[in-house]
Amino acid sequence: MAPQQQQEVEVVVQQQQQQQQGERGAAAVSLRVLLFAGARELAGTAEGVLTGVPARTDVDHLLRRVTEAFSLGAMSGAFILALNHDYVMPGDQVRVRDGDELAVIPPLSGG
Amino acid sequence: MSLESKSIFQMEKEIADLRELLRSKEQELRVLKECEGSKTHLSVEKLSKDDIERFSRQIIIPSIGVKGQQLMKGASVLIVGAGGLGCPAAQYLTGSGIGHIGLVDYDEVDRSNLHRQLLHSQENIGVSKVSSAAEALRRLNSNVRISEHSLQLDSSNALNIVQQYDVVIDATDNVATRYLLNDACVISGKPLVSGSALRLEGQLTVYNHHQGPCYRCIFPKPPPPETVTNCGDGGVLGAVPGVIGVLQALEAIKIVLGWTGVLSGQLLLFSGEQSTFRNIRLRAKNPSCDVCGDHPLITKLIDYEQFCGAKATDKESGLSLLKQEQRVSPETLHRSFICKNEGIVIDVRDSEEFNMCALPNSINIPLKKLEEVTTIQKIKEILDSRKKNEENFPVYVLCRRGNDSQRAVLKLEQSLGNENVAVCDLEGGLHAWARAIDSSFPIY
Repeated sequence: MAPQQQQEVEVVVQQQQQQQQGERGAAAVSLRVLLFAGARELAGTAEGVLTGVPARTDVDHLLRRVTEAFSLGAMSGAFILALNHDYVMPGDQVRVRDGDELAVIPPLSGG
Repeated sequence: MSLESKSIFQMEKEIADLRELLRSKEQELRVLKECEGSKTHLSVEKLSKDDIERFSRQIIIPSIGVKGQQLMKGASVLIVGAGGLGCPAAQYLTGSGIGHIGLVDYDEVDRSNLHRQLLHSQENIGVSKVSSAAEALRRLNSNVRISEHSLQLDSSNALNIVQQYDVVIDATDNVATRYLLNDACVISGKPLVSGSALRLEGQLTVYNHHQGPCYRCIFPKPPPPETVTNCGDGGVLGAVPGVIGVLQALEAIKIVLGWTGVLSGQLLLFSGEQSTFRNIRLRAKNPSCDVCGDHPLITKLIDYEQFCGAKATDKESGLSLLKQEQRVSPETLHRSFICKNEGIVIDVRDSEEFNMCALPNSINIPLKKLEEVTTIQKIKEILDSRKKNEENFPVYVLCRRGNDSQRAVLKLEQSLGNENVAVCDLEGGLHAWARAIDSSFPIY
């Protein structure tokens, strides 16, 4: 087997292992991120993906990651996160699966 | 002025005077009726013939019935903000037979309100929003008692007003008033139906209802002012606050009826673009919340403008970032740019606004693009082709009201430092231009 092919096989095996681990809640997953109101403006997009999120993590980690990935620094601390339609609180431990929906919700104030 | 326009002007004035007279007569009549009513001790809860005929379509719903209609007749709802949310909310609450409705707003009807604030008519431009809305609501149902609070809600008056009502609707347009209303409702023990809308998005939830969370439980920290967009700057499609305002009326009615399906502890996100409603389950009440927690730090109303670092209105106040010699008046700009064809004019509004109306031969470069290298390169190319060897070639910068233009001047002075140009902004923006030079130019 050529070295490159061997490398590819290794990557596939690694991914399979990660997936299996993911089912047990230990590896990294991707989240579908929805951005609302001012977060959408700052990020310049209504939707994105956050990759490499540990399947067992805490909300502070999610906050950090999402702030960094979508340039939300300017409104840090002034938005909430909802995981699959449920509010999650800083300090909470959460389990996430591939494709879970993470919503970034700052308050709207216009009327 | 021609003879025709003189008589048009005369007639418009006569009609306006008659309207004013009508308004004061109606007010007199109301006072008389209220005196009469209190003498005869009419039971507020007893349904009249008018009530039964008017509300029969909702009374026959089994979960409402006569009892529900009586509850509504005996109930009072305060609506804070008679704008895009408050108008539809007030309309449906008045229609449904809520006995007493309070309206709070400090503002006057403006032409730019009319696309979404449908209680106000174009004849009422310049009239206080509260009296304009009250007038329309009384035409809809003259039996409903409408209390007019034509004032800016603040820490000195909020508790006194809020305490007079059973349910409060937050239909305001700014962060400071939202925190003020939240705290006033927590302190007075009133449920708060909170709605908001911008562009094509809306949010709705009920705070402080049956031990549910309050605004501060969810958003303890106000957003940094620079991340807050108001309807005047961001825009709003009228039907979007329409949807949210109607839902606010519905939630208020459900609270009055004592129903269980109230949107407390949940946040409804509405997308007008996708036609979707997303229901987010919120946290329970926060035991360490500053106002509704077990040991509250806030037991009386505070200074909310200071807390939020922003004014309690949706109107941006005038910035003053530049020296006077960096600013030009509309008259100076007219003489120099229009009459003598001197310099260039950069309009830093967004392209949508520029496409609505702009000065002839002005160049549109939105503020947020001013830091891009390609933009600066483009400006330099324009300057190369225009200024030849002129010293202090004028670069005039303008925007809608003269705030962003000042920010833009500061940026351009850095990037065009070596270009031998004099960068100035139009003081007061296109609003000032319309007032001083061209009355046909739209003020929006």
